[in-house]
Amino acid sequence: MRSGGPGRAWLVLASVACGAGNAAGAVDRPHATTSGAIAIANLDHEIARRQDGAEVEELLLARARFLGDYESLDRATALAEGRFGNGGELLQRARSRSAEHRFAEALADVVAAERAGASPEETGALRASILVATGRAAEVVAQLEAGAGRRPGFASRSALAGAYAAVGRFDDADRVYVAALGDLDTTSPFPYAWVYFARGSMWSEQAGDPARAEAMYTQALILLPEFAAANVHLAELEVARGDLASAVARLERVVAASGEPEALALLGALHARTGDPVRGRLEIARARRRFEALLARHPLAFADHAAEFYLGPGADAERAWSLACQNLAGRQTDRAFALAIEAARASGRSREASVLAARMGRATGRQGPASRAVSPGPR
Amino acid sequence: MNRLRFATRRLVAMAVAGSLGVLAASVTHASDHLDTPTVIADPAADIGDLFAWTSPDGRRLNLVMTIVAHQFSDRLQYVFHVDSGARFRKTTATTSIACRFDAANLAECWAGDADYVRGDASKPAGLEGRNRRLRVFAGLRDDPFFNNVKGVRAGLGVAAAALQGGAVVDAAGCPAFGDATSREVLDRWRHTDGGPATNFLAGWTSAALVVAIDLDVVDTGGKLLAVWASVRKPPADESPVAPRAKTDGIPARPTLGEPIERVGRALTGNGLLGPLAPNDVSGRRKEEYNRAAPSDWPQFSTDIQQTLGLYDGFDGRCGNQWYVDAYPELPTLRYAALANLLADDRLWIDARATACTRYLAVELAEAERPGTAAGDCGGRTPSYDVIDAFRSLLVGGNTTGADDGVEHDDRAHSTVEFPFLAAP
Repeated sequence: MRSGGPGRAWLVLASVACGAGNAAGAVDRPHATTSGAIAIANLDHEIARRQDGAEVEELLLARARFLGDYESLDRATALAEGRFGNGGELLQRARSRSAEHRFAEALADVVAAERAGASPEETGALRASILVATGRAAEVVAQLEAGAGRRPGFASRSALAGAYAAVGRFDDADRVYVAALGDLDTTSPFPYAWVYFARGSMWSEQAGDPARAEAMYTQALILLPEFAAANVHLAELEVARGDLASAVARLERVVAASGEPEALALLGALHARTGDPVRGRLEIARARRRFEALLARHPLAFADHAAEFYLGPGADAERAWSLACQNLAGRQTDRAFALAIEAARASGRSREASVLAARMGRATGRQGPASRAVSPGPR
Repeated sequence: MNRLRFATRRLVAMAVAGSLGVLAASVTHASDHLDTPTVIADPAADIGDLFAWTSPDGRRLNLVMTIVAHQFSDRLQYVFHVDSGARFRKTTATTSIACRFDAANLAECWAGDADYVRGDASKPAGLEGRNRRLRVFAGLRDDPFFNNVKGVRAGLGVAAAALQGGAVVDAAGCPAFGDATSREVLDRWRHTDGGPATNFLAGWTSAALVVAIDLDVVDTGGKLLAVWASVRKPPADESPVAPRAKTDGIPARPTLGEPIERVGRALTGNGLLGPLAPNDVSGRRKEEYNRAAPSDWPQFSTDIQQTLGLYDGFDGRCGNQWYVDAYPELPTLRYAALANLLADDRLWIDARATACTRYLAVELAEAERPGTAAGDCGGRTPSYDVIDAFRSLLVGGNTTGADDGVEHDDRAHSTVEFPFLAAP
């Protein structure tokens, strides 16, 4: 699930007039990967071929992450919940639960998988990634550094880069992400696109460098034009620098392909501001229904995004506060705190906002801009 | 048979290695990172199977490469290599049939310098080359491979348990399983979940690259043909636009890139490289195998030797595997000759023969009496039960006896009617 800064999309929409320039960031050499359309067709073929067989959950989660296909998320989680007979299945369930942001249950599965004989390397890596996603990256940086030194490769380096990003070491993170890209030797566009997306999210959401982020999102979309989250993020940056036409066209493609609620909401807000309020209201209402439907099935996975929506065009601060609290209970990241603080203020809870602000620095142990683990969420 | 990476090979490795207590990670996982082998791998780069046989009129060589994916990659080269010579394992010439695809999956293929074809090759009739020496089909077909994967897994699980229980392994690497264990292993192989054997791949479809080519284009070195297939990354500087036209109107062939995948016989690369090793170790070795130049192929005979010993013990008798007579007095070299043969991972075809009925016919004839014509083209047609023949040879030295209970595919494929594989 793509993550977004608190109220980010709506704030950038409000500041269209002072948009930034489109300076290009550093993008690495081109990658010779299979076209995105072919790769997606082959992914779907493999999902169909495996039916409900082993490892199909991984493919379904990939489909959800890249294409915003939450029916695939439903199916992956349903399958994983029914399979926990050995260490491998428990690890798969942990991955699935982590994708749903059910982090405590995922960690319990990791422990159970260890007891069932799963490889310490696999369980260690999964536990580390969950800790990064829950605001405890500082606890695992040393472990991930040691792992990347011991077994350098895409998996170890991308995990380390994610942890560096989460603790605010953006340059280190970017350098390790580039090294991780260099470790890849596949023609599949998926891992490349994911790393560019992760770098884009880091630069825009955490490090405040939208120009660099835009270059990364663009690269992700060259590799995989259908990447829903990258399209939405890039549309937000386009809005920020005033290219509304490109943003609208991009979001319309995402909405047509996936019905992704965040894309719908941003599109609705754009239409509302650009002379088509009726259409805008309809799209926002549709986004609300879609968010609520997803919340009913995967409450934690969509709590943060839905909270942002209700702080913005969804215009329901009480609902935002409730969802932000739910999200904060699951993971104490800077971003979760920031979202809860904003929701507290929006709903008139100044005392709660003060308490949360005081706790934020203590809980995350870091000063600086609000950060969050780059996680395409259940995506 | 890489498509069974998650089936046969992995099941072998996990069943055996798991019970030996050396189960290891393949690649580390992370909850939100797309770093699993399943997701990272490009199925369009993964050859499922290779088939090669002569036409009944003796004029053409038929070639089929199945790909795990639904569509071919627009960034890869798909290549049949046909080596030829007058003597077994002494090939002197090579012809490559190389194809590439664009994003719309339109095909472009070169048969050496003899012929060229370009266009939509997905209709059953395929496309005929400009010089009529070549016909190409490229599209989705029913997958002709058949295999009782679950039964084999169960049988290997029994063997693995016996190993964990202390079965003695001799100096050549062959375990003494005993009659009861052996019977159970072979019985499990013949059943699926305790019932009649079923084909794990029933209903599977794959992208298939099918070629029928005039024999005189590919037998320039002699009538014994050795066929293998590879998938390659084009050189980095290769222009995506069509290369300049030659005077005969055929565009110059693209430079072949580095191989990232190769297949010859069934179950060699996947089945015989390190099934007892941790997955990451065997995976690395398989990568090296896929990328090795032919001159480096012999280095894999040591890996293969180690696995042959395991197979030899499955019937409760060590030393009755195919080819083991080569070094009767030297147990440590018991499997060296066969490993050496299998490391030269090419399908052998006797192009003088017009009947193709027996898998490994050329190799079997050579083992019986070197230099003797097989009287059968050998190779591999879509109807051969290669799994039973190969495993039986490894287990008991005959082409039957270690059957998996599945004797044919669920669909009928042709050996004479292009494009040979049944429609999906």
